[in-house]
Amino acid sequence: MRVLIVDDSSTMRRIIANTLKKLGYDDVVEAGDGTEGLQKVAQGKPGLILTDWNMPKMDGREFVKTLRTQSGMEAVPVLMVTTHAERTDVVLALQAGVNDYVVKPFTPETLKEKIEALLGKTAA
Amino acid sequence: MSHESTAVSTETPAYPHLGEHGPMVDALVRSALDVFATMVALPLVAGVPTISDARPPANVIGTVGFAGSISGLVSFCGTRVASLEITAALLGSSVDAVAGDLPDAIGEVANMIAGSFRTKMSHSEDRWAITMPVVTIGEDFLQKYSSSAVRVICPLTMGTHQLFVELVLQPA
Ligand SMILES: [Mg+2]
Repeated sequence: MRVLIVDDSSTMRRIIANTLKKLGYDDVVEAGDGTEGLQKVAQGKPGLILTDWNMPKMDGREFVKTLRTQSGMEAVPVLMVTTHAERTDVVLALQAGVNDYVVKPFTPETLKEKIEALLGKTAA
Repeated sequence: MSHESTAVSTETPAYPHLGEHGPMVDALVRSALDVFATMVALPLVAGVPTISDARPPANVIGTVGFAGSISGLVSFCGTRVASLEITAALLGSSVDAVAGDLPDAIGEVANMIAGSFRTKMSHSEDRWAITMPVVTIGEDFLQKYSSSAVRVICPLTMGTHQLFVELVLQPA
């Protein structure tokens, strides 16, 4: 299964990719902002997307809103990974179409649990 | 009666010597400790913060601005050697393989510290925002702030390395 990571920090993309690798996901595609993320989606539909919120050009919420209008992408699991931790932020992210939410800083275990829960939940 | 003042006990003191800035500085220091404990896995020990205009001895500085009812800057400051160790720890790589990754890694460390600080300070009647990080690397430069800005330097020890977080508050 292909996994798409959308984050303007190459460090954060590597941290997330390292966790995915440990979970057995080697087919990882990266994008530095929402616009590039949509281009990557067009090149091959991912089975899971992890996206940042604060990014240049197109932020994570806009990215997910646009993603949800595209055919075949209405239900792909999306996990938002962000420093935005307030309840109102989580609500805004969920309204944009995000399935679940991880607040930075996070432990590898937290990220792993969220990914596993998300894939288990949406696979049912 | 003597127990009243200990009713609200926290793990770190709110720095009474910093007066009105104490709780903010405490939030910043706790944010830095939290980022290092969860993401970097290199333990930090917090020293005593001071109000100072002296630039911390550092040649790698990651800075993020914030704006809410109070606005200013948060900086993470370290030596190049310490910053390479932090970068390697974040990426799960070795120190000699991460020189090119250092600017982004320190920017993300500053972003996470500022983001965590923002969460602690922000509430529904006073929403805070943070800027994108900027990273400065080098030896010979001057940082100039408004002469009325308040600067608080918070020393942090990571093994044999001395790191700092700095809070610059813009006067209201
Ligand atoms: Mg970002």
